[in-house]
Amino acid sequence: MIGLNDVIRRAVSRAMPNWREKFSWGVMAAAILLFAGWYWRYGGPWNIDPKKDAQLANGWVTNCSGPDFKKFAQVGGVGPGPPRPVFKINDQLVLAVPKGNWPSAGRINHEPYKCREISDLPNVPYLYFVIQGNWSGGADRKDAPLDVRDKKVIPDAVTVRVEHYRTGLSPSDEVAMDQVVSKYDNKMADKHDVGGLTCGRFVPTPPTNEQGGQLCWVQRTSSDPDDLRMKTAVDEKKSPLVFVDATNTSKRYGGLLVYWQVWTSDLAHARDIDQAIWNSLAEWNLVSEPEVRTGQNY
Amino acid sequence: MRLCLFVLTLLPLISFGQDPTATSSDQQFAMIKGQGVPVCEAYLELLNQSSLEPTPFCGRPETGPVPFAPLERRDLGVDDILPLFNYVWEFLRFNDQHHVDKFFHPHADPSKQYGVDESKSYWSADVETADGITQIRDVLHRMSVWTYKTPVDIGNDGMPVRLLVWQGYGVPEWGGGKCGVVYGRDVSYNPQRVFVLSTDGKTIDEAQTRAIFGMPTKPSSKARDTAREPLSYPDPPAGAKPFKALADSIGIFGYDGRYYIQTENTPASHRAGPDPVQDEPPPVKVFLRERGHTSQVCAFRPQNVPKPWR
Repeated sequence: MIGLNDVIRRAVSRAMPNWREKFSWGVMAAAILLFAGWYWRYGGPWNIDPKKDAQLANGWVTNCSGPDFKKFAQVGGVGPGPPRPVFKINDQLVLAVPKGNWPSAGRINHEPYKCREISDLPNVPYLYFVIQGNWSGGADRKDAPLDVRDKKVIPDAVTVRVEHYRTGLSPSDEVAMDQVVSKYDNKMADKHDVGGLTCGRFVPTPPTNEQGGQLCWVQRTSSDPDDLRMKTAVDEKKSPLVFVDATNTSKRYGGLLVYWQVWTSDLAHARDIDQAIWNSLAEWNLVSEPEVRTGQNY
Repeated sequence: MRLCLFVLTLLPLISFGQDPTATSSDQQFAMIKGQGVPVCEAYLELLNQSSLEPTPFCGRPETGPVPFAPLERRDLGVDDILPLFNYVWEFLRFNDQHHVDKFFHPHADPSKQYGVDESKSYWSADVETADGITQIRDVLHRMSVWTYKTPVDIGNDGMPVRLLVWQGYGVPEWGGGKCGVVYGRDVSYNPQRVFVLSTDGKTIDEAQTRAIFGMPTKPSSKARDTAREPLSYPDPPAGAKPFKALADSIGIFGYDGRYYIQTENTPASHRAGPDPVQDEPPPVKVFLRERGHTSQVCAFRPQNVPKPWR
């Protein structure tokens, strides 16, 4: 009479005739059991929380806490937490940006293991965010030119990119920029002042700009930390809303490049928009004021 | 005395006979550099025999009868263009195809645009979408992109490379118009760039593109256009060091075992005058790259070429 135990023993002996095979099968079985346990506990590698993944895709660090982060500490905590992810542009500019302003840097694979001090944060190569203003007095997206309305134009929603200008503004950079401005200056038609900006139409206009826009810049003085220039891509006489594409090369916060874009109705508010961005940076900065060398003290 | 008179009588005929195309005003182009050079004479003839509608800036011949090389284009569709779009965009603006720009896509519902439901609005590092390119390429005809069926030995060094030719949107930031068409007072001169692709064709070979189709860095270089630098597309942000192209419109052709680069810039004042169509187009130039150096071998003056379409 052959029992069930004998059947199993014979089958195992046939399948695994020596100890090496028995060991291999054992390792495989252990691995399968471990994987099954992990899958049961965590849901497996496919069960990534989409919300967390979206945060990592935008470089959000939300686990910082400690005295360096007390400025925006949440009730019951010592850090800004998920409502204000933290981004380090450089040693002078560490921003806790409200999530309502849509901060976005490059993807990170995971948050820092510990974030107790600002030095625990990695530098981000760039940071995007959005600020919503009301410089157009209730303009509607329907005021945008026909061919861009499907791109979900939101009047006065400024998309901003901030990055550390690694080399800072060297004297040769300043000379080069002055040369660019004087080149524009000499080729401008219809030059005029708009809200403290010098604006005009570039002649010849680059063929890219068929809708007819302007180039504008701030007349700088040597003590001015900023070099603000912008171009509009739609003729303001043809459309209530114009697209403004601005660049500010600044000495503030150890050297920054700030790019911003907006659909707005009044170019005269361009400097106000730029100022609103600087105000936001100052408000969100976690680096205490004495350490920050701002425009007046760079 | 009689001999002198005889010579004087024949002089205009002799000079006419030396280069009939150079003085024939009914021809589209006249040679201003390269007389007697076979490739220049042949390309001049090809230019003069070609239909160059709407205007030569928008496309010059790439192939002709033997000994011209039989270059076969392969037009790229939206699915082929999309994976290359970011690389082209970033390389032209920042001289670095891996530079990252992000674009905000707000939710259509204003109540969900900010902070209310962050899963609805999003940032994307993709400059364009398939729908956007389809619209611009297939509906508005504001861009055209192609490669060639076989690699091209554009460096004439025995090492053929994969080339990508890109005309229109993507080079300029905005859509521009259909090439060679007048919009109001403006002519849409869609710039055209040539890129060397990596061996797998998925990215730009930046070093080779700069070397072969970029503006030479030494001002003394013979390839540098001393009359006027090409316009910078797109207008680069401050701090960026954009790729500087050899010319506004760049193409290639092969002749008698060698490959050449042919270029044309936009008219210098093409948008300033009251009638831009009347602007004098700049010369078409032909360059040869050999032993790692680029030199100009021919130049042709447009004298009776089609004007942009109104």
